[in-house]
Amino acid sequence: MTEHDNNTQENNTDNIHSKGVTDPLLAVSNLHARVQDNEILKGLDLVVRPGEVHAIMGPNGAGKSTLGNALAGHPKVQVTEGEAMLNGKNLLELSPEERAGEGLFLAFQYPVEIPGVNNMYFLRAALNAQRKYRGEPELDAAEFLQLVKRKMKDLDMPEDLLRRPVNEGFSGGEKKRNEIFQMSVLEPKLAILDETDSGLDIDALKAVAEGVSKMRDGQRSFLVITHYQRLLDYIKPDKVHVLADGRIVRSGGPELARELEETGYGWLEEKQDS
Amino acid sequence: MSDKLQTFWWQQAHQAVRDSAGREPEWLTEYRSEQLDRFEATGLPDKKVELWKYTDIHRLEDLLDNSLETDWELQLDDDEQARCVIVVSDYGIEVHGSLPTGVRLKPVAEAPRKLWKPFAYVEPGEGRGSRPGSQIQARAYAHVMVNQAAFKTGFWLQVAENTDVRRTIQVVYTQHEDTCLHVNNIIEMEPGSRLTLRQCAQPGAIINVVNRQWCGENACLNVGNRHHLAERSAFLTHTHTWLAENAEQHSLTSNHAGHLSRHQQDVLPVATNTRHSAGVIHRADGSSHLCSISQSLLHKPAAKTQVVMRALADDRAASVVNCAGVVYPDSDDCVVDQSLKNLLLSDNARVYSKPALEIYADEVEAAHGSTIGALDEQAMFYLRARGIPADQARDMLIQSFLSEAIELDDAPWRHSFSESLKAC
Repeated sequence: MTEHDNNTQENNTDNIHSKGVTDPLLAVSNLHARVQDNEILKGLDLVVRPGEVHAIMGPNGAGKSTLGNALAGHPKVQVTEGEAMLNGKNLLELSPEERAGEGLFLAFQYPVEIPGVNNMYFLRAALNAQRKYRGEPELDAAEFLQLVKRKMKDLDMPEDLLRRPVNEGFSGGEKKRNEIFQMSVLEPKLAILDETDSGLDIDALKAVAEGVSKMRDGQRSFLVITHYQRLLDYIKPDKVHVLADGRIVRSGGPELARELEETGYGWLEEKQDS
Repeated sequence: MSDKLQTFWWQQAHQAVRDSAGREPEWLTEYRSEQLDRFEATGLPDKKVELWKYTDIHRLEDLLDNSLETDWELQLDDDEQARCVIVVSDYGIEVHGSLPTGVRLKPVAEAPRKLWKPFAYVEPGEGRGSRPGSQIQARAYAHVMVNQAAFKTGFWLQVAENTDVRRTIQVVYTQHEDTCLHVNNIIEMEPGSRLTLRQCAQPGAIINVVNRQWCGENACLNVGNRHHLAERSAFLTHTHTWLAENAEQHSLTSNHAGHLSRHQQDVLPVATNTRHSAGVIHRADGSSHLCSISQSLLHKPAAKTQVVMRALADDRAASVVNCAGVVYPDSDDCVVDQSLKNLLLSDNARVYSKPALEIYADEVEAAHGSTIGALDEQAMFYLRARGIPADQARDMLIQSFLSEAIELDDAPWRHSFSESLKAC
């Protein structure tokens, strides 16, 4: 590990034990994960506190999406070492649905189409399953309809959305907006946005970012995985991390994202060469 | 004869021919007798017969000793009262509610001889039509022959010219005493008529139904079939549909469970511009065996046929979906579309999926596809990542998969019928 990496490691983890600082919502330490025979995450550390927005940036193949999938419990991502705690609970011991029940939400990079199952049915099933997991009463049809209509109005979603099958026939932008809408209904504690900006035109990007901004309440945290700085123009991050070769190699404030936009990731190769 | 089923059926048919004499028109007794002779000559199908290659007709033998303890009782709620329900059993035909205006119902034996057109016994590979049916091909229809000789009951349902029947007619098949009940129906749609029919079966052992559907010019017949069977029961149907000019026949069939549930429809346009669509759903679980076969034999130009089959097999069950479209010489401008998709949900389940096209005309639009796979892992993860438990997520994906057979067109009747399937 280089001196720089050591600094980065401290920057990501030292606050876990600092006195007088809010307890972390998400605490990931020394996370190793494989997809089939490839080790993708190689000892990743990350701390996200309530209300914080962290951006994860990095070149292709760095492990950004694998991080999101590992935290959400994707069956193809095998965690081999390390720890991931959400609100003091070990995520790695939970099924994907239990992680969702604990308040984790993954906005997919490629949302799945589910023909024949409409959004209304799907979302109500999801919300009530989470409420049941948390020991809260389930919402009946009328209560749920009232809730989603309010959320739809907040996010300016089209009225026919609830009747349409989940993501079927949606444009790329509609799919991403639907992810944000789902997030808004499910009200997670930690939302991971996996390249939610990919494939969006500027208007769709603004709409998605506005949706996220409306959900910032000082308690809900966001992990924004992105290649580009432009999304961070609209969703102001508290911290920016550079993920490369399965580890966070640099962390900083919002200025780091702007720097990366100008310099790219060439310096990572130079660092490796040296 | 050493074959238990063949002997049983022969005895049934022989008895029926004897009973028919003097009680039915002479030509009908002769017809029964001819069918019995034909059955005797051809015997039961074996694996060499393409249409029975993956379905063993001898499974029926397991049910011949079933004790019939059917405590089934027709219960009509308020909605159903508004409909007309025809109960077909070995006790005969009962009509609950009133028949809609323009619909006539009589015992099948009273149907005129012209409606008893012999079936064309066709198998894929015979498309050129130059060869006479061989013994092997005829054997595929042994259960039809024995039905035609042995049928105990059945109806002749006639819809008067230009009658649009708004109320759905429901047909329920059940049995009380006969281990194997043979039912023979004729549905005659006069020109310009429209009807929606729902059929379901509650066999205690074996019910074998043969339907002749005649759709006159500009007539439209919609049929919803819900064949959700008990474990130790069997339901066989063979439907032969003749379509006159501009006639349409559409169906949606949901098959679930049963020791043997086999359904075949042969569609024959007899004039131009006909339309046919079929959506078929299989849910094979336990040790059930489900088989659906659709054959479109397009002898006339500008016929359009679309078949969508969605099948899943779990546990030790078997599912067979077989779809054939034959476009004969000079039948130009036909459209044939076949889509077969299958989900294999356990290591011990079996799926046999076979689309087939035989095109002997020049200007034809034809497509077919067949896939067998497992549930989409990424879709499962998507649902679970939203908090939906694995079992519920699995059910949702299965519902999603099967819905493709329901939504193959925009017909409102199909959607309303699908609602009744969800409740099952």
